[in-house]
Amino acid sequence: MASDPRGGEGVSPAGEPQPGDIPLPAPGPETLPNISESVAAEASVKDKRLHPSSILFLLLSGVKSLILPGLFVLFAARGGSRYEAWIMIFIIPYTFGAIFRYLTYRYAFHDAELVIRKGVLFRNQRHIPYSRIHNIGSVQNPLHRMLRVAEVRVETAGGQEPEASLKVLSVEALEEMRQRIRRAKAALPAAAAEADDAAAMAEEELPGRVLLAMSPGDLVLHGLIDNRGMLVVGAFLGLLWQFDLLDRLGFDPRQLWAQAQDAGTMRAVAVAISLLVTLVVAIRLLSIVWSVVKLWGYRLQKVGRELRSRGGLLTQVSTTVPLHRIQVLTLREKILHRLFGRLEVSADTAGGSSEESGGSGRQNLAPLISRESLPDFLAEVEPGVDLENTEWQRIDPRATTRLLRRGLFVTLPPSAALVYFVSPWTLLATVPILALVVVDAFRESIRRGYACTDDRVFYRSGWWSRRISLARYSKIQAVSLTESPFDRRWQMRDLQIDTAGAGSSLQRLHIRYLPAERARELMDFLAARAAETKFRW
Amino acid sequence: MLNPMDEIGSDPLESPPAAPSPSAPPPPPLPAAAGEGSSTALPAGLQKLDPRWISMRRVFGWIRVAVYLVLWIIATLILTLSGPAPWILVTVVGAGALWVVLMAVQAHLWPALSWRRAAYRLSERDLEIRRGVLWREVVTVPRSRVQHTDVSQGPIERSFGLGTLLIHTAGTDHSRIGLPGLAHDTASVIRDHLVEVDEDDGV
Repeated sequence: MASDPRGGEGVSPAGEPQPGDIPLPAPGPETLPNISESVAAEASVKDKRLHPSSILFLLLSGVKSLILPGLFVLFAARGGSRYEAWIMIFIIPYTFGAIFRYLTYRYAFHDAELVIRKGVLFRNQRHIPYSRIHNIGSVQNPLHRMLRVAEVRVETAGGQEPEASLKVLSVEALEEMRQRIRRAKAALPAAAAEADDAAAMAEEELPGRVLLAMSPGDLVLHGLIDNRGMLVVGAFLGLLWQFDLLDRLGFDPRQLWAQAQDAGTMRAVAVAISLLVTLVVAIRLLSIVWSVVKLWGYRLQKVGRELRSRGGLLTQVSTTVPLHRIQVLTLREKILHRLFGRLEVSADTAGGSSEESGGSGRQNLAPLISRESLPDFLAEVEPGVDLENTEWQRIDPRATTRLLRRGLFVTLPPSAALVYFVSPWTLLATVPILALVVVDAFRESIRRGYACTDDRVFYRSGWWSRRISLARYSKIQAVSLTESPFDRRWQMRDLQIDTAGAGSSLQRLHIRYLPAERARELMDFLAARAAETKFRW
Repeated sequence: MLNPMDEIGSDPLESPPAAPSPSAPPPPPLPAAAGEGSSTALPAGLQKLDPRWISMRRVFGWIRVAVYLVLWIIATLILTLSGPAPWILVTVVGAGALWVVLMAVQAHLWPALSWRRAAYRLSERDLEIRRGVLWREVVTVPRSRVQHTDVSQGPIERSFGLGTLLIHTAGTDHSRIGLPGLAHDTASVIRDHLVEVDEDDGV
């Protein structure tokens, strides 16, 4: 069974073939007995199919990809109804495709792996060892929920895409899959899953502990702080722009502005300000709506050594993140967060990206959590982390000067140009900005720092919008020092700690402006600590 | 900028901290020796790249310059035939010529500069790679984090007997780290060495 040579051929290019197919004893030895006892094992190796409603969903997702081109065609040729007929023709192959996919898609639970087969002409058999599975995520939109089914994603490390995407399974089948994989993992020899892990899996039927449950009030706050409104507006404006709807609606800002100006300067300013305020408020409101829809009823549970989250008003998304898969944990505290005494906790996982994580394997574990409950939360998620008593090492104090110069270099020339060419009144705006640059340089260089504990490295930055990232030494993949000509003049270095599945540059462990010697020491130290620990995805 | 007399040892990146660095005075140990026969000996200490790498990079550079030159000739011809004002002709053609000359100078000098800066060190614990002339970088990959390695060899590399060692990690920025300019044998030896550990270690 584990021997189909076509296995992942060309199918999981992004998948992770490397991390030692050798050390995993499970597939090999377990496979052989299974063939001889295939009759006995029959029950557990029975092929399963997707839920019949899969046809519908496959069809819908096919149609969805036609919608945009379809709309385009419609807009391009208004009046001609034959184009709609043409679109209908495109749906036919999709229908056949959907039925075909449903009929040929099978999955089966073997002893040590999940086996998925699909296709008839181009057959494809994929073996996913249970021990490699990071996450069994599921997505349910309202239609899914009406039919009691879910879209299931089985994710392993490394890949951008889920290793397997089962569209769709009944809720019961999903639960069965979760349990089977959990049990199988627990039963696996300790080589595959580490011993305490297996133990945890076994004891795991206990009800989980709720680490975080977001109330509607929290959601409103989250929307207020986490400004996603811009995203919505941006998408909306893009759409308007795309179809020239602005012109069609007769909306022309220049015209509005001209009208206002005719009415006098004060009026013009008043109009501009009120427009701006309306826009800002509208964006925040949209953001709140977005949060409520996206995160309705969000709760994070710790079950055994896994974190499970679930939430969403229309489309329910659930994820499972084993604790030891967390590569980097990031706490973020924007200025609004601080105003309300909240912060945000996210984790980089090496797994495939889930939809709401926006690309990288970043999971927002706690979209919003209060300061008071943070220590308890951390104790469950990253035991041993004590942020209160962390001894932060500052970066090079001379960083102040560099930050200051950089800030002034960017802001001074435009300010001067404004004052000189436009009006001395612009000083009213530029002076506070310049003052802010100065304050920022001082505060920032004091705030930035790193810390090394027994098993983790920490980095914090930002005095206005704060963040702290932390990673276990065992998750460090590579350490590098970079040196620009400026760094060289100042005898400073940037230290970069590379981890799997690292997200945006805002949450990477990049420590800038370290004194050269200390940077080198730190690199050697981190590399040594990393080398003496084993990395398990 | 081109601080010419710089040897690896005086590299600020190398600098003082831990005295242990076995390379305080540059021991630029015999890359030539590593080239030919020493296929079994594992290079120890801070190593320079194979000097043949300079020639190889120059070949690449000259090929690029040749392409620019051809483009420049074509552009000049077209421009001359279309008959613009003389000062436009002179300026554009002159700027193009200057560009080609600068590229030629760069093609000749840069490889030597980057060779002077580039080095690697293989230890029991990790592999350290240095590179870059103006923007410099030192990367350390613990050997237990090496997922797999490749030795690649392009046609020009082959004609120089060189190879590039590619180290894959599970990381993000450094998911693939290249160490070019190794004698092909040396690259293979290092690869085998890294893979060995990989097996011991079991991810």
